[in-house]
Amino acid sequence: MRNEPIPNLVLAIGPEPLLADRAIEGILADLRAIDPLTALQSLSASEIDVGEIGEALSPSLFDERRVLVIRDLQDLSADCASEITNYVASPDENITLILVHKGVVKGKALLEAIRKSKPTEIACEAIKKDSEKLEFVRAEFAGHGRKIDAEGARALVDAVGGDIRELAGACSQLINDTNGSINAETVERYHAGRVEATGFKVADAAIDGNLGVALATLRHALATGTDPVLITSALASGIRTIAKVGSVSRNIRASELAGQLGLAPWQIDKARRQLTGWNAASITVAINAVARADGAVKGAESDPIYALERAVMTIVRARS
Amino acid sequence: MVARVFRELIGQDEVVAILERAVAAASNSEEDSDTQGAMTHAWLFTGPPGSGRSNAAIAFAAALICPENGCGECNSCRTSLRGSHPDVELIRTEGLSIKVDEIRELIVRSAWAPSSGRHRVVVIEDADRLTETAANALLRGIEEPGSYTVWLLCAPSLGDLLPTIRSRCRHLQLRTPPTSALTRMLVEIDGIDEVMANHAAKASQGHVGRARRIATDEQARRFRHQVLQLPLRLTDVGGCMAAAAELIAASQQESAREIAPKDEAELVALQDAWGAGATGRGLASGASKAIKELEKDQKSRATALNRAFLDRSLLDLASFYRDVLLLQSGATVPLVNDDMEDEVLQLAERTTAEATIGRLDAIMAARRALNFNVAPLLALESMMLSIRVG
Repeated sequence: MRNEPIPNLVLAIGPEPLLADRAIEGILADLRAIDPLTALQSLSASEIDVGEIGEALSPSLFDERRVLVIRDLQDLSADCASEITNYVASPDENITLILVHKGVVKGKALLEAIRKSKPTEIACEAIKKDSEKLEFVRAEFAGHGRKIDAEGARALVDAVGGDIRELAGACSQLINDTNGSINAETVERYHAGRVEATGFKVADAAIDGNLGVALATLRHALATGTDPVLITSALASGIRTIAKVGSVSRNIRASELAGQLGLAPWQIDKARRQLTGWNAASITVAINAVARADGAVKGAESDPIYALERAVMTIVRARS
Repeated sequence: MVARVFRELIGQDEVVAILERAVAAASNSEEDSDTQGAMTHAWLFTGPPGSGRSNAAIAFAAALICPENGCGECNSCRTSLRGSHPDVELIRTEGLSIKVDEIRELIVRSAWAPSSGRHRVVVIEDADRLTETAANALLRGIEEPGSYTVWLLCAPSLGDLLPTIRSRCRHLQLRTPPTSALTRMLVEIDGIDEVMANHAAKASQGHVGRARRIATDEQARRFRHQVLQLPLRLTDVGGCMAAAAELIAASQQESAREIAPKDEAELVALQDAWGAGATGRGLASGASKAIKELEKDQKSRATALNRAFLDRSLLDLASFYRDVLLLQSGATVPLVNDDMEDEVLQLAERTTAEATIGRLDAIMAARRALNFNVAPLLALESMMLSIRVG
């Protein structure tokens, strides 16, 4: 339990929803430690009607402690904004108002007005880069008085790094299920064989003629929630790229071709490496297979997963 | 003597005769043995795109409302044809579907008594775009019509409607108008010169609106020509990929050209309605929501139109290979694309009839794929590559 007083006005600002949720949970837990009957009300700013906020913030009969959370503050209509500004000018000490703002430019005037009342600000920065994810993992463990070494953190991010919520879940699982310091081996034991896979990895493996890897990656991608449509579009774009690059002379430098083909130079270099084994006939077979699979995942056939596997196998076999 | 409102129905003499009898029956208050049973409360117009389904339905509506059975000149006829007569309700959708809520409201309105004439006519131009629930809702309206109500539905074919709806309507099948009738229409009604009219009539393959467009719009002619040049460029993989991308871009541009002025006008009208430019503090509250909704509708309409244009160009492409096949099989039927005779001849000599049929199949497969919402670029790439192989 913290020693500082619990704030009455909190502004959670930034794009990462997990961090905002944690801030809300933390404050609620602190309040409930004082008064277990503290009520929580959550509103989404995009659906709020005029008067709703005023009503939620009006004094209650028995003066009980309450928490009001308003999410997506940036979407609040201008008509409702005054209800918040009026309230923050004369707040009710029994209410904790938590405003969650995505940190975008929209709704800036309202933010300025709220900041005049000196809210407790909680930064919810996006966690996108690998280095940020590693730092997040370390902080998760440190928060529970535990340690994870660099390789362990690396392995965990590689295994479940797609979504911060999942990453947090994986961290808390490891914290609860294991003892002592955590290294790559421990992570491996819990997340063995799981690799974050995208449609592009499937496409690369298929175009390189690596059937086993392509099928396994495809299954991984589907199992980790990649939409089948994204997989067909990745396959299409991969084959499209080698088709385009294959039809121009190898002697032209990638940087000169980039503009003409609408591709980045690195894509051209990569496609040139991948081109071995591909010719006009095999490219035709491959594109036809992907087009058929795209129809299949959009309802032309009953089993999208089978259709994707068939497309991957056709692509690999087409390569001579 | 054909009533004036029916004169624009090109090459549909049988259908016009049936409609005229129905109008006569409807205007006779006393039962006349000659026209008994000629009128009913629900009609279904089917026919290939461009044969004038909705024009036939609207003309029929006008004739039913008109005191002179369709003079084409009175106030009632003119407002009916324009879609602004209070007793003629036109349901048009430029989006992808007609939703159930729209139909429920429509059924309530359809039962109102007519304001002037003897009938209240509801025309649904794209009955094939009714969602299944909307069609079921409509069923109730058709089954228990108000005593004044006449329902006119239009769809490309009988298969596009639920059997339950089909069985409650009297069916009229329009046919593809013959080239000669189209040419005559372009010359007599639109004042196009004979040579151009003949070319446009052939190139449109019996699509009235398209024939007009080709005859009057230079840009549309250029677009069509661009599409028909594609077959000669499909010599290597790179050419096929480029052709697919180009066709997508060109048809997008062509559909945008048609739709941009409409979008713009609608936006201005909506902003006016919410008080733009008036004195005061700008748009009334709620305006931004309404504008967002309009933009959503416009986007759905643009998608539908873009698909229609793409499909149209695939049909043009198919007509090219049809001509190739004609020459290869030695048939003496006239070419659709007589302006491309050299290219057709060249391809007919260089390739086999078997390959041509394979190419036509590839085009039809691409049309089906687009219907299944396959990414357009991918579907066309697959088509172009298959055409190249034959």
